[in-house]
Amino acid sequence: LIFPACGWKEIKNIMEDQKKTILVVEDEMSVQNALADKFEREGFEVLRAKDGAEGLKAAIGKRPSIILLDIAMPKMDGIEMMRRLREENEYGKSVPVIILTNLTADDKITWAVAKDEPAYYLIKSDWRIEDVVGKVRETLAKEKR
Amino acid sequence: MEKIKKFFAFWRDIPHHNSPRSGNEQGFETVRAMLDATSEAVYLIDINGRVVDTNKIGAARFGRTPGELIGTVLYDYFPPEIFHERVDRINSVIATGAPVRFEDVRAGRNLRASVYPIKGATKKGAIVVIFSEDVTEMRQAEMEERKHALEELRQIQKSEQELRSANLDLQKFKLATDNTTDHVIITDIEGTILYANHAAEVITGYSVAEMAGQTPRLWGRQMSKKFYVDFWKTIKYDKRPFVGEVTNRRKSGEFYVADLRVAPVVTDDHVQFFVAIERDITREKDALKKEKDLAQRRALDEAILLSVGGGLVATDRDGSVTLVNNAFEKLLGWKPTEVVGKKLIEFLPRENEFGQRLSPKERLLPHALLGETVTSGIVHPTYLVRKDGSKFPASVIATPVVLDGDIIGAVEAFRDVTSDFEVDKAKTEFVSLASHQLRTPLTAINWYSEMLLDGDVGPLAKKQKEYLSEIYGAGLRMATLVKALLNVSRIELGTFAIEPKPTDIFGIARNVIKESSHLMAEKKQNVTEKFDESIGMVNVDPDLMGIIVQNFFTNAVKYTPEKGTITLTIEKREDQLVVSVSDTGYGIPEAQKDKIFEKFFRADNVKEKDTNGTGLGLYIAKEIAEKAGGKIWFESAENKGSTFYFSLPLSGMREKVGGKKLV
Repeated sequence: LIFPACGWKEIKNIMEDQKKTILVVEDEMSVQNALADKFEREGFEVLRAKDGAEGLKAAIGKRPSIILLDIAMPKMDGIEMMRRLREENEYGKSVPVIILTNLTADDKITWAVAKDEPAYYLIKSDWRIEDVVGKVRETLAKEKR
Repeated sequence: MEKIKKFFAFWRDIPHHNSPRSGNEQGFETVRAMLDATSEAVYLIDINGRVVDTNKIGAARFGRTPGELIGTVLYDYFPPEIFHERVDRINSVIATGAPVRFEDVRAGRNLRASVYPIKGATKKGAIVVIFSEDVTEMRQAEMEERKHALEELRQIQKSEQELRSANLDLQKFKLATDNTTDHVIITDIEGTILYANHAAEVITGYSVAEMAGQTPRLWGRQMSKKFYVDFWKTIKYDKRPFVGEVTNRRKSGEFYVADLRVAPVVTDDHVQFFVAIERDITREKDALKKEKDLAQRRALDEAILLSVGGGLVATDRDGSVTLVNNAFEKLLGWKPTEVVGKKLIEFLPRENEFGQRLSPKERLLPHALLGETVTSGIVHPTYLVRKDGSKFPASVIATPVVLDGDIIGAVEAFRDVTSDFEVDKAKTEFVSLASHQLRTPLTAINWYSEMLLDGDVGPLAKKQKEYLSEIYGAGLRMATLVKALLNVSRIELGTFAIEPKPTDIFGIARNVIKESSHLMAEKKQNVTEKFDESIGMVNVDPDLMGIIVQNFFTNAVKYTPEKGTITLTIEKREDQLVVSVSDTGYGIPEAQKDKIFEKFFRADNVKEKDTNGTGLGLYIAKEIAEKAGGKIWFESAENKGSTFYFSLPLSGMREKVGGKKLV
C-alpha cells in the first residue's frame, strides 16, 4: 500500500485514527458542519447531534471514542447530557468529553468539568479549528495510555 | 519722802525718847505733836520688836494709848496669818540696813507700811521706824476708778465691735449685691431708685448714673396696664411681696424675660422702701424652648427612623440592641420587645452565599464598634436569617455612633437586595448570552476562513488568499474584542474572582514572552529578561497575573518599531514585587498620559500605526491590579519608549470570591 501524498506522521495518524469515531453535539449548523468536515478530512468517522437529547442517544447507542460537546443547546444542554452520560454506564463514565462552547466558564461549568473528568473545556472562538483537532488527538493519545 | 527726811534729821537728835528730861524737851513735844497729827501710824521698835515709841494713831491701831503700847512687843499684835511675813520683813531691814515697803490687807483694810533702819540709834534701843498708813479708802477709790475705766473700755470695745461687725455686714451685703447676677434695686415708696447693683446695670443696660432719680419704668412698661395695677396694689396697698414673671426692655431695645420679686420694707405699718430683685431668665427660657424643639426633632427623627424602608438596628457599645425600626420587624420577624437588650450578634445570625454562618469576626457590627464604617456589597451579600429560619440576601452597612470622640454604639442598616440580585443576574445573563451569540457566528467565520486559508478544500488564488486573510484577521480581532468586553462587564459588575495560590510568576512571564515570540521575530525585536529568581513563588491568581503581564508585553511588542528592545523585569523593592516591561517604542504623548488607563482610549500616535487595539487592555490590567491590592503606573517619553510597572505586596494578591473568571 502506497500513500504517495503523505508523510510518515500522517500515515501514523491515519492508522491510529482509522477506527476512531467522534460525536459532534452542536446546535449551530455552520459550526457543526465545519467540525464534521474537518474531522472527516482528518480521517475520523463523524457522528452528529443537534441537541443534548440526540447526543445522549447517539453516544449510548454508538459509543464514539470522543465527544465534542456544546453547552447552550435546545431540549437538553451539554452539562445535563454529560451528567446523564456519566451516570449511564462504564462507557459513559469513561468516554473523554471536550466541552466546546462559547460560554465563559462560570462556577457551574468549572464544577461540572472538574467533577466529570475526563472532560476538557475550550472556548470555540479562541481556538483555531486546527488546534481543536490537535486537542482531540492529544486527548485520545492520553486515553490510550 | 520730804517728811520722812525731816523726821530723820530730827530723830537723830533725840537722845532718848524714853527720858524726856534730856535736853530739848520742847522740841520733842513738837515732834510728838507732829507725829500725832500725821495720818500714818508710826512705830519705833528695837531689835526685839519692842515698841520704843509710837504715835496716837499707831497705838489706836491696836486699841491702846501710846503709853500702853510703848514697852510691849509690836509683833505680839500681828495677826497670825501675817505674823511671819511681817517679822521677816522687819528683820530683813535690821539685817541688811535696806528699807522695805509693803502693803497688806488685814481685816478688810489695806495697810501700807514703810520700814526704815535708824543708823546710829541702836545704842538707844530703837533701830527701826515703821510708818504704817491705812490706804483702804485710797485703794478702794483707786479700785473704783479702775473698775470704772475698765467698764468704759469694755463699752468702747463693744461699740467698736458692733461697728466693725456692722461694717462687715455692709461689706458682705455690698459684695453679695455687687456680685450677684440678680438685679437688686431699692426704691422709695414712689418707686424712685435709691440703690441699684451692678447686675441691674448689666441686665437693663442703664448705668447707675442713668438710673438716678428714675423709676424702674425706665426698662419696664412692657406689660399690660392691668399687670401694673395689680403689681402696685400688692406691694403698696396690700404691703405684700410680689412674685412673678415680667417682660422688660433693655436700653438696647432688646426684650428680656425676668423673674421679679418685689418686697415692701414696712415700718410701723408704713411702707418705707421697696426692694426689688430681678433675674434675667431669657436664656433659661430659650434653653427650655430649644429643649422642646430638640425633643420635637428627636421625635421626628425617630418617626423617620421607624418608618424608613430599610431595616435599622442600633446598639450600645456592647452590641446590645437599643432600638429597631418597623422595617426591621417586617424583614426579620422579630418584634422590638423581643430583641431590645439582646446582643445583636447572638440572636441575629448571618450567612455567606454558601450558607455558612458568619463568625463574629466576619460580622460588621464588631468593626463598627471599633470605629470603622463597613459594608457588605450587593455582589456578595450577607444572608440575613429571619426569626422563622428563612433567609434573604441583604446589603448591610454598619456605622459607629460617635459622641465627643467616644464610640457609644453602632447602627446597622440593611436592605433586602433580592430584587437587586435578580436585576444583577439578568444583566450578567444578558452579557454572557450576548457574548455567546456573538461568538457563535464568529467561530463559523474564523473556522471556515482558517480551513480555506489552510487549503483544506483546495488551493486559493493569491488575491483570494489575501482577501480571506483580511476576513480571518478581522474575525480574530472581533473575538479578542468580545473577550475584552466580557472582562470589562465582569469587572464593572464586580463579579470576577481573584483566587490567589502559590504561583511561579517567572513561568508566567516566560510563557507570555513565548506567545509573542512569533511577532517579535517578525519585527526583529530583542527581549531581555531581568528576573530576581530569589523571590520564588508568589501568592497570586495565575490567570490575572497572566492578563497583566501579557497586556504589558503585547503592548510593548505592538508599539515598538522593528529592531527595538523589550525588557521584562521582575524584582523586589522593599516589601513589593515589581513587574515591569520597558520598551524602546513610540511612547505616549505627554498630553494623553492621564488618559492612558481609560476605557477604549488609544493614544493618537499608535492609532495610525496599529488599528488592531481595543483600548481595553490597560483598563482591564489596572482594574485587576487595584482590586487585587496592587498598583499600576508608567513612565514614558514619546519616541523613546515606555515602561509599565505593576507592583504588588510580596504577600500576594487579595482574595476576592466571585462567580466569574476573567479570560
